[in-house]
Amino acid sequence: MSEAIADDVREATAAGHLRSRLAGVRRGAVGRVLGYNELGVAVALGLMVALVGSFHPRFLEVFSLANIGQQASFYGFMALAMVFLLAMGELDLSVGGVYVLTTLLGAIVVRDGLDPWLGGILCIVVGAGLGGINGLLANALRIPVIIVTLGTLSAYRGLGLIVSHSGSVGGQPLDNSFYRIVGGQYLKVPASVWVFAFMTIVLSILFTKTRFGFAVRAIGANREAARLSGYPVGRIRVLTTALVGALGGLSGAMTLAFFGAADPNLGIGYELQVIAAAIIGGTAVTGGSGSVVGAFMGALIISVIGAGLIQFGVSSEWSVFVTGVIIVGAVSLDALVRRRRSARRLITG
Amino acid sequence: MSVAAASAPQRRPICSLSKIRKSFDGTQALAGVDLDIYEGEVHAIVGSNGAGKSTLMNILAGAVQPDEGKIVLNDERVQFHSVHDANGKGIAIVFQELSLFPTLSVLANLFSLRELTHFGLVRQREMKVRARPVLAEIGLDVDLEQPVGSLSLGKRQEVEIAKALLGRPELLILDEPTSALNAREVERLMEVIRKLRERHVAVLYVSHRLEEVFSIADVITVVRAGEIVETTPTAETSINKIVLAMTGRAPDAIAPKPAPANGHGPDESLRLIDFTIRGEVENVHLTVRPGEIVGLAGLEGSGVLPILEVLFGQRKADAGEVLLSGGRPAPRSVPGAVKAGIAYIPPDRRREGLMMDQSIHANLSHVLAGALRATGFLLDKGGLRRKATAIAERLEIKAPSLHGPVSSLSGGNQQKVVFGKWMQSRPNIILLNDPTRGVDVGAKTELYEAIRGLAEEGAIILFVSSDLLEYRLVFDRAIVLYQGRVAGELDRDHLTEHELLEAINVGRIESATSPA
Repeated sequence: MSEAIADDVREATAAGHLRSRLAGVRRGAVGRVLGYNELGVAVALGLMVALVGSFHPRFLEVFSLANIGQQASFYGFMALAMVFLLAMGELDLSVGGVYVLTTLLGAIVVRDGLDPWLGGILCIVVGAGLGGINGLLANALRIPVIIVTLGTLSAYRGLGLIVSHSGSVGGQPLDNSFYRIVGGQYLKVPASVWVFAFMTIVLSILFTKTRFGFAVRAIGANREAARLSGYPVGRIRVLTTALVGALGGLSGAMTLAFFGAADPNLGIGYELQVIAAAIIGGTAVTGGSGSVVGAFMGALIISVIGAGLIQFGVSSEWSVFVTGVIIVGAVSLDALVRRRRSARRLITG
Repeated sequence: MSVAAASAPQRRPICSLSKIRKSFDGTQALAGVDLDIYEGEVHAIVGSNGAGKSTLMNILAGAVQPDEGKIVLNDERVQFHSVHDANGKGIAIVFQELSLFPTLSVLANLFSLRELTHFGLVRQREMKVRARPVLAEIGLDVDLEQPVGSLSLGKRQEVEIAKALLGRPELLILDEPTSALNAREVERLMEVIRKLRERHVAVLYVSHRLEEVFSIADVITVVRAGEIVETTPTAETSINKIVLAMTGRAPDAIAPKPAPANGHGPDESLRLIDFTIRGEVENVHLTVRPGEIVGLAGLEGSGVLPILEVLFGQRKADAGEVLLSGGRPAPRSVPGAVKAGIAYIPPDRRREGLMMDQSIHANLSHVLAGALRATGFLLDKGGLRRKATAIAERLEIKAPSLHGPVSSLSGGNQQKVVFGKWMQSRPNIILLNDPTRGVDVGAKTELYEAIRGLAEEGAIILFVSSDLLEYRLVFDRAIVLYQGRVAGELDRDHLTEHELLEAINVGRIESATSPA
């Protein structure tokens, strides 16, 4: 991959003497790097599964892997959307709060008689609203989303405690088709994993192939230049935070369908797992690029680490530590690639 | 290529380079350069972007090590391992991009990395005592406690020079020191350089602005494609000869075609009526017809920039009226301005114009795919690429592939990408804010031609430039603003550097043609 960049740079350096050969050149250095990143993450994921599986073959059983996928999906939904925000050069810390509040609200309204299907949709709508509030506040106060969500993380979680009176919310009509269908299994794989995979495809298309995704990446690559090119930067920021919130709400609905109850302690520390999944998946915190498919695999990697350590009899405290180490490793690798790239760029300066 | 002997035989160079070669990744940046620098001499280095000027300066300053060749300093062969090393041997450099810390004080910046300490404590008082004579020497009057970020660009540049002079260098390298300065600041810098010359400091002066070079340099060296084409005393050459040496092309190619005749009705004009922004612009009247290229000239604070900002929807006027072509009102937001057919080319392309890490294709598509929503919800990548390719061909953007990052292009080609992005939207009003800053002569000519072409297609063009030479080359007329008011108008025949300087500094036009 760095070969391709080196070639580009070499040719560009000599550009003064070259006439342009514009048509038909199908070689995108940036595109290639991205492709390689995703491949790298996939290989890492495969190696981890193989490693654990070689010592503990039962780990490779469908039931076990499906369980890992389901664990991953709960924070993975938000990681998919977080890719958009990271690619804009922003960060949302309130995802855990949005997730728990929507789950609780959904459980409460359904307990009090609302149709569970409508309750699920309400989770998503409320999530989008809570996320949108983050973006609106950031715009109004002219501060980064990370600062706003430092506050709304507690605010949303606090609201969850208030509405639930600090206790679990049960009383769900569990015989309703919602719990059977959305909380069920297909081909031995939980519905949430299927939805997770489906959303990965949808959001990946949204990110790479639509005008919205193009705008998000442009803003992340250079906010000021994007503003002066006429992008409605504020509006896109609100849409993106709303998207993150909506995926938090979706995750809430899936949780409610599977567990048939909600608890105010759900999703503690999710903000870190969500961001970690996106970063492990190759999305740079510096903005401008990202990979939704990478975040999907990143979420799985975190889940595999947790489950794998348990297989090896390592206490669960260690999984937090190991996740941290892997984030540092992933970020260092990214920084290394970047530095090589910019070192080569200096040449043309 | 021949190297002309430039100086009297009895003088000995303080620094002399011979057969310097340098390649980066197989690309030869310097192909055997010989250069002698004499004390008390202002030696200008000129050349197109990519000619090797910066590499040469970086080698002299110790930032880059040559592959071959030798550097002799005061009769002694030397090797520099770092900028710090070269500094210690009497060579200081002021880089093109200012390297000061904006939040730190002037004093802290002057002594950064060489703070005077006593048992680990910084000795503020002694640092001040040392700094004052240097500041006085170049006539820089600033508060040492003031944060550098609060100073104007010109003052910052002088702080940078003072910092370099603290090390008492024998040779000072200034790499494009005026590219971000306004006319008055440039004049101040010239005075500083003259003072240094009196003190027998040798100054290497890299610049794209030939008028400046001719006003200050004793000797001019032209670099092209990694070699020295010629070294000539300023008195024995001319701008035309230098341009020819730089580009290998006849210099009259720079002059644009004359302004087109005008057959459009007044309704299509851009009009400002009683335009007022409290405290910045007062009662400005202005009419620009389609096909016209009008310069807005004025110092910082003269009201030029606020006018551009209102026209591009970034802020509102307090009073008066703005009428776009067809009598439409001023835009209320930047996206609104873009949709109304207004384009804005900013002065700082790295910060305001380009997504440096993105491909040339993507950068050429941002106006079209972004504000104009010229494609559906799903991006029509093929269509965008075709349009980007067409524009790149029209502007002759020199790149091996449009898929490569825009950062791999030279400055001139990068600026063409900014132009291309806006040309895609077919704007009818184009606001140009110093669009050729840091662009080499060849690319400048091509950009002027593109601007002229847009005017011929009927666009209204408002142009602001820090390069006064540009006014005469490009504009049909210039409107001079002074302290928020229109001071008058200069027509094509009066757009000389002298008359412009006087008009923007004094706010009075002696040879006034017709008032605006």
